[in-house]
Amino acid sequence: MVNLLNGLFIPIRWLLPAARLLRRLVGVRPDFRETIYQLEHFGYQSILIVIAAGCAVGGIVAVHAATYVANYSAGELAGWAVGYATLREVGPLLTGLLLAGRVGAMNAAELADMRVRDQIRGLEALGLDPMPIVIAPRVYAAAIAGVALFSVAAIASLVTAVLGVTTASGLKLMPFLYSLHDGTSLSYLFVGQAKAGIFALIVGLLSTHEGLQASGGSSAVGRAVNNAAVASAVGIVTANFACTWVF
Amino acid sequence: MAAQTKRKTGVKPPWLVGQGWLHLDHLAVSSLPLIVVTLSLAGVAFAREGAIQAQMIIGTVEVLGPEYMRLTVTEMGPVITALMLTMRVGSGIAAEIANLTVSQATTAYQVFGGRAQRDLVIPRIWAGVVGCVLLVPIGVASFLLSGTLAVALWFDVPQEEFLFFRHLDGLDLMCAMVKAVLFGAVIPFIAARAGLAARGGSGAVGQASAKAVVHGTVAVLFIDLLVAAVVAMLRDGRLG
Repeated sequence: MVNLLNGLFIPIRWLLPAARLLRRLVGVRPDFRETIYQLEHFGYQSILIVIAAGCAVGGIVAVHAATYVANYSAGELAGWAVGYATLREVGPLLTGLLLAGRVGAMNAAELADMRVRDQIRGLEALGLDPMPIVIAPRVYAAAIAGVALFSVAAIASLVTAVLGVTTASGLKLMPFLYSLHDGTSLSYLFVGQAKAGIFALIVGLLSTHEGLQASGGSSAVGRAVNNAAVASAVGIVTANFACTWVF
Repeated sequence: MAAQTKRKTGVKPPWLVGQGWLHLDHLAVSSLPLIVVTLSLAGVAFAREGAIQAQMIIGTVEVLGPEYMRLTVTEMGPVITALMLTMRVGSGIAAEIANLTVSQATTAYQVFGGRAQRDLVIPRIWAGVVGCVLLVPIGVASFLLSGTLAVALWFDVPQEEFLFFRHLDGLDLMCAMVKAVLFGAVIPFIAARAGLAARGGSGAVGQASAKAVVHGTVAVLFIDLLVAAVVAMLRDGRLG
């Protein structure tokens, strides 16, 4: 019971450090070259895995949409269901959780490794502030990469879902595309992108915070990655909850 | 341990069930608050959004109940529980084993006649399967109850009109349990493999942990798709 009551404070425990780090980042101008490097590192190198995950999400949506079309003969609503699930609701959440692993865990691992090898302290000893050259580029790059990767995942999942529904339910491609066009608006995509941006910013902030907290040997790096992954996942689910009231 | 298992059960090892129980505490008991809190938050968000859309498109919220119930039991409950376990348990197992690997503790264990790969991986898979089978119903219940509460609070839909247990059939429950077993086996397996492959210093531990989370997440999504497709075919009568 005490364990469960402690669980209620999990989101607060993770979101407070994120807010604190965000406040410290305000007004900091990130190093341009480092930001581009991190964008390539977090974004470009994650494209394949995000496309794979997007196809899986699209397939899952297609299986369920095809079942509803069969059960309720609701062919005219299938397009809306696919667009809504992939672009606005399930797609951003699952892509966000993938980013928590790909971007969050990788960022925390690198920062924790830099921390335990005293590289961050080395920068400070040289009179360099780690905020604009190490921390800010990673957080900004994570947020920008999150939006871009969600867009790629959304296209992959939408294409897979369209192919899946038309194959599995026997709906003709053109009527289904019309239904998708009529039932879905661009606002679904923008809401999904906004959610993905918020999720990715949270991932960037929390993983950076956890990475910088590491102290000790190699076990501390593992602990930092573990904490970053959990914190990012909790942050995403909490933000998804809050987004219900915003969008 | 393996010989002891063989004497007690008469079954050829390696089962290493006893050691699996030790890992179960870390995997299931310690993950309980995380699962309850995250699944409850996700349940409220999912139900509220679904109700708003149902009101806009169909004009009523009452029709949402049976589909919310089925989607929760077969899809959202098991998948979000598994993704949370990938983040918490997968990265933890990978970090733990990678730490043993880079500090050459596994090599030392093998020098003394132990079989590090078997003894480290199998108990964790046992614990993963049992833990996931226990946690998925708790996750599903949290998701369902919080969603029911949300539609009751914001849309005045009474609980008896929203929770339609009779719409669930054996195939739905079997789908959830098969997913739980597969997720429970795959998450520790992928994490242990990432940990055992770690080479180098502290950076390798972090990389192994990150790899476990990414590969675990993608594996969970693809297993989910595979099981959902098989269940849909069984329902259509296209299989068996």
